[in-house]
Amino acid sequence: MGRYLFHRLVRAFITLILFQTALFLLIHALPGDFVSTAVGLPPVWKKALRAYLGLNLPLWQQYFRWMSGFFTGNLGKSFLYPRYSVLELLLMALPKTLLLLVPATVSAWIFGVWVGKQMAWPPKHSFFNASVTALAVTSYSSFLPWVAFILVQIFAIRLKWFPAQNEVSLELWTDVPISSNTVMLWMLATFIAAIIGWWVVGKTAKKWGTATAFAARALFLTALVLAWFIRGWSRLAVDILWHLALPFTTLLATNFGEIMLLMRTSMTLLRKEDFVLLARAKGLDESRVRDYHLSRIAILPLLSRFILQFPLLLLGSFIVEKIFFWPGVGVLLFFAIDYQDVPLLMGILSLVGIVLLVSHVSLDLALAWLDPRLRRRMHGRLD
Amino acid sequence: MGDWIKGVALENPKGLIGSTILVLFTLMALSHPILMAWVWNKGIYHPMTGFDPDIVPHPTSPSLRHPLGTDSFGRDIMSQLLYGAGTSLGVGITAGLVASILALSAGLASAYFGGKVEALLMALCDVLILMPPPIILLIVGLLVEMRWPTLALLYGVLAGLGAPAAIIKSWAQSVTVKAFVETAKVSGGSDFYILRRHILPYVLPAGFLFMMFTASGAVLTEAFLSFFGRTRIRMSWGTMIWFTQLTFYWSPKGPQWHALFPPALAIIAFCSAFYLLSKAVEEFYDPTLRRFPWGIKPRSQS
Repeated sequence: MGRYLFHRLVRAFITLILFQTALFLLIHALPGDFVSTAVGLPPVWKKALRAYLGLNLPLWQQYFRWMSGFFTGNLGKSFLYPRYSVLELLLMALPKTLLLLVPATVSAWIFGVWVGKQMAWPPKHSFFNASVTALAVTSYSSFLPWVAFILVQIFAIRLKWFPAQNEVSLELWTDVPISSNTVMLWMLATFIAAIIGWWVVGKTAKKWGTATAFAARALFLTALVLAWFIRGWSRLAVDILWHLALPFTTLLATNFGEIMLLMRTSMTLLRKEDFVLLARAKGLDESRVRDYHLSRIAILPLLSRFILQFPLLLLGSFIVEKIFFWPGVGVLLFFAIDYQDVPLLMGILSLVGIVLLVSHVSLDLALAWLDPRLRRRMHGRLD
Repeated sequence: MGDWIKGVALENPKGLIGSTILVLFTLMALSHPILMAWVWNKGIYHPMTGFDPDIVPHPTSPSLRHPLGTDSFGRDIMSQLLYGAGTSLGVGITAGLVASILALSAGLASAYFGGKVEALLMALCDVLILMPPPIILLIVGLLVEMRWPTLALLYGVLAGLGAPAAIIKSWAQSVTVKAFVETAKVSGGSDFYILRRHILPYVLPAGFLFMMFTASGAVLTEAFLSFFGRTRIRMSWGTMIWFTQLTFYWSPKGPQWHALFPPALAIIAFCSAFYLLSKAVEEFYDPTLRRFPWGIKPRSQS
């Protein structure tokens, strides 16, 4: 395992260098630069600005500047927001993206897996089944900006229930000493705590019966909500949730379908296995066979599928951010592309790349840990 | 090939629905030039520059003259939809073919030859996995004129040489070590013959699957790029949605719901068709997945 780990990490490092080089070449191949997007500037100023930003240096010098900066954790200063470094900008935007992406993804998973396993077991052919499949296929293939537009038309413009822009109402936050990012990170932590706690508390309390488990879960969630009220931030959290409603719904509506379909297929594949027959022969309930014997194994293939689909999820969240002007990484990305803000663009794309790289490496390591045969299969050597 | 078409597109209900939708879209795409040449007046029905001077004011609801109504510029939505079908079909099929051919050749070559070929191809694949094609295409849109063939080709290359190539490689690797490959080598089979005859059939299902996924991904990406105005495509379903949401209230008769739904439903139907076909391909190669809800049984279960 140690040998495999070493090889995989070396390969990841080489990939990272190649990726950075490819990005650099791609971005510097673009016609024009940041200065040329500033229309109406006198040529002398343009020249001075280029010299100040280091855009007049030969390409190889810019390349080494970037690479040495990247590997020492210095991503440079943004052209568009010269007060901040790229890292600061990313850290400011990241909590907002995470607050949108993580709950939407987790909810899509919980919802998709739950509906998927209900549909696959016990085996049935029904009108209900067919219509849920049709709904899931529609969700899987619908065009995200269109879904967002319809939701905005109905809930923001016609009914006026939810806002369609921004992440906070500014008038509420004027005399508040903390930043919205802090609140968002705490909200994210609460969400994760709620999910984990729901599972752990329910599992522990199940010994004393289903009613106790339900009561314990309800108590736990109430305690979490109460903690927010005691802390005095509930007003702020509710404001953020109110703004989050439409982007979250859009992302959830376009993501749950695929997970549901995958879960159903995965369950269908396992239905004829011997352990299912054994579980039923023992006289277990159909629901127990489904929840304890089938679905646990059926989820495993979905995990590697999730890593492959992750770029699409990320893109979906970027598009949602752009449409709802939710000021996360996606909005920054569009700004950076429009103004050719090279350091910011490189920073964002590197962040995306690193997240994907880490997820792929950890998937490979997890699979190798689970399946010893894979450790020996490196660079085509099979023994 | 005949068996394959019968098994995937005719005997499997999912495949049947999918292929019917695709055939319908092909007919739509083909009918547009014919209608423009002989039936429709070019001045009135042109998808980009048409205008119907006999009707005021202009966003009109569906009528006999304009089966799906007109948009705020007085252009016929039916004509735009038919024209957009051509663009989407072109993008989907080109990207799907390019991606599956590249993924199959890169995966097979790196699994079979190993060594330097594998190291090189897998390094490329590792790098492309880190670059989601839609985001890269957003940037490349500043560099090249993004018409639909360019977009489809670029999407195909970026998507095909990424994760699909790696997955096909690992499938092919489990075949290259089998005894019959050694036997074929010893009996004097050329590399190309062994690859085509002995290894390709094992990974072809994965190739078809990736073709379907890339096709629907490419169509959604085209719509997304057109929606944000990052392409030079003058008329497609994405452009139609963008234009409608921009001019949603430019109408004396209230919001233009009639113009919003046709392109979006077309995108949904198009991507669903590819999804259903991919399911049919999966079930064709893996009979344990098959369910025959309407009592349709395949004739041969070999």
